[in-house]
Amino acid sequence: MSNNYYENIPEPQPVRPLQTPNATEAQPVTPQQAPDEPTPQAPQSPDTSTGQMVVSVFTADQLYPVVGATVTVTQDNGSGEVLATSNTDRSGRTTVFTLPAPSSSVSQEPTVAIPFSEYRVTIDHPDFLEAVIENVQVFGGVLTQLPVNLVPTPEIPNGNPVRIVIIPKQNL
Amino acid sequence: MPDTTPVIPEFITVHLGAPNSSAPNVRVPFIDYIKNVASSEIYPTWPESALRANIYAQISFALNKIYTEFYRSRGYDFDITNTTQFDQAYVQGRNIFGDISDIVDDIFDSYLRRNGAIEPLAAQFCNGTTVTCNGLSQWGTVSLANQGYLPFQIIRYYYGDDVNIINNVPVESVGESYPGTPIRLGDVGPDVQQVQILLNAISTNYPAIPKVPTGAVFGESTENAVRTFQRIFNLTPDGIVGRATWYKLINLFTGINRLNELNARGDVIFGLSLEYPDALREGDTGQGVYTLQLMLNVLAEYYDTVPSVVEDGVYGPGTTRAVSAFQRTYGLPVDGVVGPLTWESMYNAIKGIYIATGRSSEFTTAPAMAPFPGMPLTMGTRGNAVMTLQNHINDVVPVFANVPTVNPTGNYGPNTKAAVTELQNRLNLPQNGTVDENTWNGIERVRTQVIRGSEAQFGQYPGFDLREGMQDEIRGIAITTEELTGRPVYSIQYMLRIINADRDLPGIPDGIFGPQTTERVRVFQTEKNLEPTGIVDVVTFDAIKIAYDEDFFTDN
Repeated sequence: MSNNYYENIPEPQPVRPLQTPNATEAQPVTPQQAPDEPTPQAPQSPDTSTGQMVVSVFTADQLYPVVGATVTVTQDNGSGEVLATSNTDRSGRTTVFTLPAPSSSVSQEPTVAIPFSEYRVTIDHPDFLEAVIENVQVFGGVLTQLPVNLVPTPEIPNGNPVRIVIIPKQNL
Repeated sequence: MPDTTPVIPEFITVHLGAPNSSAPNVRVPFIDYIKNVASSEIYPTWPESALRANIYAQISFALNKIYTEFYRSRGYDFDITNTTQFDQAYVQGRNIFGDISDIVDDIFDSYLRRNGAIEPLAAQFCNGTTVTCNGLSQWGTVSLANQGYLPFQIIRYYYGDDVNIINNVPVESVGESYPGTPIRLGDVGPDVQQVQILLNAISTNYPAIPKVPTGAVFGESTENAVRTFQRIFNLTPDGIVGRATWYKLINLFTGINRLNELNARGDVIFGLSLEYPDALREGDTGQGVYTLQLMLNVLAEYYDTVPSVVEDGVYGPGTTRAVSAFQRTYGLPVDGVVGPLTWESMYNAIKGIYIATGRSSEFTTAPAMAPFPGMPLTMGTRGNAVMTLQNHINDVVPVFANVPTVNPTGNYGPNTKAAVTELQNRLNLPQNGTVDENTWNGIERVRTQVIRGSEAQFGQYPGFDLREGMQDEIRGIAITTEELTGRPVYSIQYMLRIINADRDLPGIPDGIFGPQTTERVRVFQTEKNLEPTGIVDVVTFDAIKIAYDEDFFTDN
C-alpha cells in the first residue's frame, strides 16, 4: 500500500491476542465458500454423496477463540492427501468444508459397510500444541461440527502431552 | 438417594475409563456431554423421532447416575464413566453432528420418569442386533420411527406406558436462572438488558459479535448479535434467546469473569517469582500451597484433565488429586507430590499460557478497578467510598436478575446492605452484607467486564450507527489498533484510509465525523452497491471491515 498523505502519522499496527500476523477472516483454500453459506449438495448417486464439516478452535474451554490456526483435513486412509485447509477466523472458525461421504440411505439399517467417511484433522498454531483428531466422521447430507480446545505450548516443552484423539466407531 | 426434585446439572464429571482404572476425569458442560454421547452412540442420519427417543434415554441414563449418586456414593470422584460396559459412550474431543446438536439444544432439560418415582429413569439401551437388553433397541427406534411412531410412543414402546417425559426441568447454574420464556425481537425489560450486557461482555473475547445498545429493547441489532453468537457456538442461529442460548451466555460470562479474576491474582503472584519453594506435599500449609493452588486453577482452565481446587492454603486430598492429574497429563511420575520436576513443568505450562493468550497486552486495555478503600464498609458507614460502592453496584445490577439498585447517597443503609448481600450470593461469597476486600474486588471485576464490554474494539461494530456530527470521546493519534478500542469514528476513518490508500485523497483520521468522512462513506457505499446514505450502519460497517482486511492482509 502507499501512504502518500500521512507520513507524519504513526502507522497503527494490528495487535490482537491469539492471532498470527497473516490471520484474517477465514481464508478458504478449498472449497471457496463463506462459513455460513452451505454449498448446495452435489448431485447424488445412490451410494455416494457429500457431507460438510466445520471446525471451531478455542482455548480455555471456549473462553477464547484461537484466531489464525491452520486446519487441515486429510484422507484417513494413509495416503495423506490434503482435501481441504482453512485458517480460523476471528471467532476461531473455519470455512465449511464439503467432503465426500456415503449417502444417508446407507446408515438406515444394520450393514457391514461403514456408513460414513473418516477424515484426519490437524490443527496448527505457533502458540499452541498441535492437535490431531483421527477418524472424524462425515455422513452424507449432515454437518459435522468439530470443536477443538487447544492447549498453549509450555515455554520450555517438557514431556508434552500428546494431543491425539482417535474416534471409535459407533457400536451399531 | 436424595428426595429433592432432579435438576439438570451445569457440568458432569466423566471418568475416561472403567471405574477402577487410573484414567483421567473430565468436567464437561452437561449439554456438550449429551451431544457427544448421542454422536458416539447413534447415526445422525436416522429419522428425527428415533434421534429424539434415543437422546431422551441418554439424558435420563446420565441424570439417573448423578441423582442416585451411583458412583459418588461408592467413593468415586466422578458421576459417570465413558465405558459402554458400565455406562454410555463418550469420546473426549470427538466431532458431533449438527442435527443431533440442534435436538439436544431443544430437549436437554427433559428426562424420562416412571409414574410414582422421583428419580430420572435408569433408561437402559443397546443396539438391538449384536446386543439385546431389557430396554430400548437403538436400531428398533429407526423401524418404529419409519412406521410413524412419535418420540414418546417409541419411549413407551420400550419402557412401558407409565413412563413420561418431564420437560422444562430447572438447570443448575451459578446464581442465574432462565427467565422462563424465550427472549426475542420486540421484547422489552430487564431480561433483555441482561442479555445485551452479557453479549457485549462476551464480545470482548469474540469481536465478531457486534456491540449492541443496552437500552432494554430487543431490536434488530440485538437479534443480529444473538445470531452471530449462536453461529460461533454451534447453536441454532434463530436470533432467539431460548434455554440453550441463555445457558451458553451465562456459562461464558461467568467463565470469562472467573478467568479475569484468576489472571488478576496471577499477575500479582506470578509477577513476583515462581521460584521452587522446596517440595510440597499433602499436609503442608502456607503461602507456597496458596501459590500452588492458584497455579493449579490457572492450569485447570486450559487442561481438561486437571481439576480445579479450593484455594485455602491447605494441601489436602483435593490438591493431591489435582497435582496427580497434572502429572498424569504430562507423563510425569504420579505421586501427588510437587517436587522440582513437577514444579518446573507447571511453571513452563503457565508461562506458555501467558504467551499464547497475550496476557501482557490484554492487561493494558482493561480499565482500572477502583482500589479497596482499606476498611470494610458496613451498615452505618458514610462517605465517598460508600458513594463509589453504590454507583458501582448500580453499574453491575443489570447483569444479575432481581438485584435491586440503590440510591447513591454515601450512607450505607439497609437497601445497600440488601443489594450487597444479594451480590455476594451471586458471586459465591459469604453473605454477610459487609463489603470486605473480596466483595469489593468481586463487584469491581464484574463492573470492569461490563465497561470493557460496552466499548467496541477496532473492527467491531460499536452498537450504534456512526453519522455526521459524532466524535469519539478519546482523541489523539493511535499507535496500535488496540488503542482504537472505544474510538469507533477514528477506526472507520483509519479503515477507509487504508482502503483508499492508492487514491489521491486528502484528510487524516481525527475521530470527528465531518462532511469529508460522510463523503468518503458515500463513495464507499456506492462502490459496494449499498445505499449511499453516508451513515455507517452495521451493514456498511461490516463491508468496510471486510474491504479493510482484504487490503491490509494483501498488502502485507
